[in-house]
Amino acid sequence: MMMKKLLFALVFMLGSIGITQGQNYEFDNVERSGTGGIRALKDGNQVLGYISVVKLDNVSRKEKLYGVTILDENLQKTHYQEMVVDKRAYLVNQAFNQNSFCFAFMNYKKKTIDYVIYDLKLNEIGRLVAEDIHPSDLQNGSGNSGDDKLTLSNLKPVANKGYVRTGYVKAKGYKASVQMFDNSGELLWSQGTNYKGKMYEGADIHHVGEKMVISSVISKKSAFSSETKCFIVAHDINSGDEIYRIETIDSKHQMFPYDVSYNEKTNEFIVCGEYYKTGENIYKVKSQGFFIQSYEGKEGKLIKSSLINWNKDVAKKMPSKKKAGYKEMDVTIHKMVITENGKIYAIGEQFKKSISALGVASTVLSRGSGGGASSVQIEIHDLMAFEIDSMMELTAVHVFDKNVSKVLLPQGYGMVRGYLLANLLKMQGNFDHCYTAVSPDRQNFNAVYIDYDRENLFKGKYNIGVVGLNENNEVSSDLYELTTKPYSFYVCEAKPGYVAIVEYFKEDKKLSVRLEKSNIE
Amino acid sequence: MRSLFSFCTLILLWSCCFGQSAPKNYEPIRYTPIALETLESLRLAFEEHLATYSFETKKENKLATEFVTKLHESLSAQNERGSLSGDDPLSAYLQKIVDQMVSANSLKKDYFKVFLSVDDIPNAANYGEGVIVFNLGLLSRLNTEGEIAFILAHEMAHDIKDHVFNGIHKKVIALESKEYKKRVKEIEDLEYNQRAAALALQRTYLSEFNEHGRGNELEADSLGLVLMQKAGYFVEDALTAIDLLDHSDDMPVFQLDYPSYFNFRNFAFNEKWLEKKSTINLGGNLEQYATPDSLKTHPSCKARDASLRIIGNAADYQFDSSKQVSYYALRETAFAERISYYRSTGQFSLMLYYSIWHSQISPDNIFYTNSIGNALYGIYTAQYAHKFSMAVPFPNQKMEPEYAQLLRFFHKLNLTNLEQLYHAYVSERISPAGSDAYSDLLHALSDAIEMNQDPEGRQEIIANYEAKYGDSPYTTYIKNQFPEPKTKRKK
Repeated sequence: MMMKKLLFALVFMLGSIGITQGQNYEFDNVERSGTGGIRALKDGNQVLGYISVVKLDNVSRKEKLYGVTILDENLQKTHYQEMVVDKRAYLVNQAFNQNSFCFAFMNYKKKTIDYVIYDLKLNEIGRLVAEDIHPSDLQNGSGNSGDDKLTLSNLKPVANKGYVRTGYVKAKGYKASVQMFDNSGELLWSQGTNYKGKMYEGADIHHVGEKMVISSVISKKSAFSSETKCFIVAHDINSGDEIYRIETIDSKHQMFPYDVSYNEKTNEFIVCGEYYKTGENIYKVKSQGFFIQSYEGKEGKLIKSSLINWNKDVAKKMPSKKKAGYKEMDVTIHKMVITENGKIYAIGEQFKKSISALGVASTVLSRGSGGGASSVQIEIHDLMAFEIDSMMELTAVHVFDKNVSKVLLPQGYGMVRGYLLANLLKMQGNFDHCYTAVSPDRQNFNAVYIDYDRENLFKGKYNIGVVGLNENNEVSSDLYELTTKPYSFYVCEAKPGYVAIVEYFKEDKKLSVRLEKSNIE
Repeated sequence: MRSLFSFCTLILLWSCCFGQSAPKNYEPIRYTPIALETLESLRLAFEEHLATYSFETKKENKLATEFVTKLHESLSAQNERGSLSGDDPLSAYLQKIVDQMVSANSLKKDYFKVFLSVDDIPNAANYGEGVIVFNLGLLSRLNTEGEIAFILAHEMAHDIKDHVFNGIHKKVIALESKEYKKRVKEIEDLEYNQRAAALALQRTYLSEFNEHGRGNELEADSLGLVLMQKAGYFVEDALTAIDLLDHSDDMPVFQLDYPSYFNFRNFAFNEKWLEKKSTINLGGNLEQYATPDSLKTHPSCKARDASLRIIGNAADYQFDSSKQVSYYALRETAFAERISYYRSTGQFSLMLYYSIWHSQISPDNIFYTNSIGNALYGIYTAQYAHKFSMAVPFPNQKMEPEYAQLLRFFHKLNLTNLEQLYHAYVSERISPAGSDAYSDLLHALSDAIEMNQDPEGRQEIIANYEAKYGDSPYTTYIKNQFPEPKTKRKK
């Protein structure tokens, strides 16, 4: 039987072939696909194209063959290359700096990330093998049987020059560093904290400009400590020297940044996140609200700070229809954008804990011995857009209806709340918010989410929602209903005004990506 | 340059021969699928034909039967999709040319059957047993009856030489050979590099089959030339047909004056919509993946041209204008059908581009004026339903620049712009309501869009249209656009 299958395959097929049809690009013979089958290739705010990495064959006991396809922003195929990589290596990130491509392959066996750099024809021109990986990154990916799900956001391009990444050194805890390497993979600089004592750090790079790299660092003295400090750190792009390190606190509050947005025109950066009262256990209580701070970019001086309280400020501006039940909800901020006119839009999502009948039943059946899931579930509710004027005053709250999605929490997380819980849900991709992108001219943004009944897959409607500004600069939304019936789907970032819809059709073994224009009126 | 030349020649031919005689109105053909009895008798004929070949083993016989079944299934599938027709003015015309060549060459009467495939791919195919499928996409790209005759004669030659069944026989013998099976088994037993070994084997066999196939093509060209020449056609027709095949992907070149098509009292054209944005160059490496000649099924058009020049005697060529006249009316039908095909498949940017092109050639032909309106409506509704990607592709460097510009223009328009453009076009360019079925359709669609909140009002518009024009293709079209709302059952 197998023989015949192969025989026909040889005569009629040419392996995995992609075809562009209109604004679609289709990959054939795709055995399975997760949420990373097709990924956006970006440079700062701009989507440059898409990359797909498909395993083609095993070439030896230790190596496998990948087929890499690159499409431009309009889904026109530009590159195809077959690459031999270690069997336990998976693509976790990709970047383009106008001179080269960099693919990050995480090797779970060797516990390394290989940053492989390719020229514009996809010939390898350099490689940096990094051994300083955070254990949680390895842990997140090690249980993953697929080869396309995990994404690490620790790689950013430096125009024409190279790339920056975050690394972790195991020495009295884990200390984060920001590093830059050039197009040949040579490490140019690596800078971390000077603190010699025990410290557990996590870092995220937010902005890479012509002069500096801005990242946020969260640190605590022990792995289980609730005392956490957050910093905004700027490094000189050429030397790596630390220009400033700002702790995000004021006299009464501690702030936990989610997002940093840089305005090159004004040389200011704006930080947003959630804030707590000083001394509150951030893992167990709901945050007080969200904060916005603007800093002068050169020296990192605070210009203005604004605290927007969930109960005092947001509750007042909630649409009347949505006021009921609002106070029981937690809200997390996904992304913040500053538009050219100085207005700020923060995109958030509501969620709350509830008791899961299924979780309780399985706990009872396992006699409390545990079985992976707790009896607590998270309900993901509506998407929110907070409109903030240039004086950093909250002027409006917009709420966009969604179906409630339910996520069973892993055991041990039943008591967790607030910042840690939101981060866990974000890491596991449990929120419906997919991405928020700002147009290169900063005149508009698109916040994109998916909306479907996860408990009744294949039966209900699959919807994609887009929030942005209409012609009158008012926050508005658009809803797409998928008329196709894919086995799975997700959305990828696309050029302004468009959404890239990725659909996997299991029966046809087809992975398709298409760009659709949104109708925000 | 070549396509520009072709275009200029075409304009000349059009204006000389029938510029004034183009139909002012046109109703799309309603294709009738091939009768199931005809398909069944073809299946039996295919089986009987296969029985004339001897196979040594049962496995060979089984595999050959599978190939023939697939051949028949592909015809049935096209027929089920409604894209195959044997009873329409275009296939009747093709059949007439075939019958002339049958008679001139003393071939068996009523053996060859030509079906039209309503498909834009410029292709024609012989299925054996006298079955020739001629795609609308090829027919509408050819310029003269002689060119059509060459394509038909080429397919007839394939049939006369039994290339289809011979090819199946050869494939079966090769695939069931001990050597091939041994190599497949070896690949299956490989723990590593299975794909590379399978591709190498595939290349070897494809290359062998294709070499044989390319020989068949040259043979069909040469015999086809004889068949057509005996029926009074000329080698030059064959040469221009080959040249057209070589450029079948080219689109017509013309200047599109945007304000004259897209500027109205209620819709002001904005030059900004034509601005080209700069994009970051990602580089590329696809040139190294071009299909090698050994894997191509057909010889290059250059080789075919050279071969035909040797075989044919081009010296006594005389253009028979009397033969072309009957063809030109049908050529316009083919063009109009191609435009209708783009509408039925939702390729509205192509519908628009070709309608504008034709409207420049025949400005007094309201079919093309109306089709421009219909395409604008299609683009608007595609965007409304978030299916813009199906209607208007992104421009790319391989496209004809003018077409790429048109696509760029539509990508800049938002839903409101598209709606305004459609209404403005209908009110200023389409004949007043009551003029003809197509114009009335566009007016009715315009009214129906405005009744967004009034489904009953929409149904009334449709009912009025149906009352006036009965069961026409346009009635079906408007009904499909606004299906009757489902009424909830009372408990």
